[in-house]
Amino acid sequence: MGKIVGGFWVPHDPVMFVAPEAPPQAQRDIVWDAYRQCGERLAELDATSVIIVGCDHYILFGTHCLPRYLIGTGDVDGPIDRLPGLPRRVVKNQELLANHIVSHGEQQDVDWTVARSFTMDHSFAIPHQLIVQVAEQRLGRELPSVPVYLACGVDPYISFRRAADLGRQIRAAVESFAEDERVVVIGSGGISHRVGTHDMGRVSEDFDREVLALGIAGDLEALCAYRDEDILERGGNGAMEIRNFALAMAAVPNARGEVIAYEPVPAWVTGLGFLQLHAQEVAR
Amino acid sequence: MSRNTLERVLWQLSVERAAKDKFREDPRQFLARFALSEDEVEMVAGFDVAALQRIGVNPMLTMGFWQELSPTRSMKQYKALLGATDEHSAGFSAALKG
Repeated sequence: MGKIVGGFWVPHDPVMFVAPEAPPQAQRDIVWDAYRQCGERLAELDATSVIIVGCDHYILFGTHCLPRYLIGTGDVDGPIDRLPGLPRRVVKNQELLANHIVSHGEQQDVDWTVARSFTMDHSFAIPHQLIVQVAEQRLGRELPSVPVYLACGVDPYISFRRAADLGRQIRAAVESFAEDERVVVIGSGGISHRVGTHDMGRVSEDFDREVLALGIAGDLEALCAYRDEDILERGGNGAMEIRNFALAMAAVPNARGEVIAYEPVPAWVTGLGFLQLHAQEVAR
Repeated sequence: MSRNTLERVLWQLSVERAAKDKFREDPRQFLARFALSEDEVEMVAGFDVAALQRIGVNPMLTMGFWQELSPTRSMKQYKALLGATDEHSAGFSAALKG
């Protein structure tokens, strides 16, 4: 039987790569070190595979097809958006697990949109290259990584309720997986940021800390209670990505969070929060 | 106003090389193939990102379009067109190009 052994909330900020020296040195050090810490903690969990939950930024999918949620079950490469220091490469998928999540979902009335080949964007590539690859080096083995995409950047957005449903379905699928798989789920995104708007660069520390507090408490219900208009007002259009946090939290059994780092970085246009979701053995 | 068509156009201009080349050659001829009003054609050809956002076009698309094809690609100019104040740009200024 497989098991979800933990999870993370991490940002995927492309401005870090475009303008790496923009913030003060102390902030840069904290953020880059937070990614390294996540990689080391991922290795300590002795994971055998990773699910990275990202979102489109109106690059992968156009008006002709806007999936609410999607899983990559076959070939994976990317990122499609070229960023300095983030090379495009092939990523090893855990195809058996990804396909099992799809077939398990069919029994639960969860109809995954499937990409049998998938070129991801930076929302997958940043945590993969800055966290998963660090863990792979520590472990001395590959950590196959499954891409999941939720509609957070382009409307119609996936609902929080559906995002949490998907997390629970993924957990059930992992627990019914034939192999002795140890899975970590990374929710990639947030926290506050504005993309392409007049106030791009405004960071909302109060909102960010409120979201992180929900992560610490494992309060999925409160996280899922955010209304879109409140998120847009308080955290900006980029903060809609906290849906990815909801999926990750729902997937981790009785999750309780531990903040690894938080930095509000206007020069990188984002409130950058790093949180580990610990799986708890005792039921709530 | 046709938000769907405008987003289709801007998405193609953000990700498709052939579309970008045709737009650079002759913006209005490229835009003639879409069901856009004259006002909408002028919004796109004139890089009026504020007008595009006012009618609901996704800001990720207006920014991508601007960065790919506008004459200056300056993010300072982009934000100024959207009505950004100095306060809005203060913390972000170190990362702004142009």
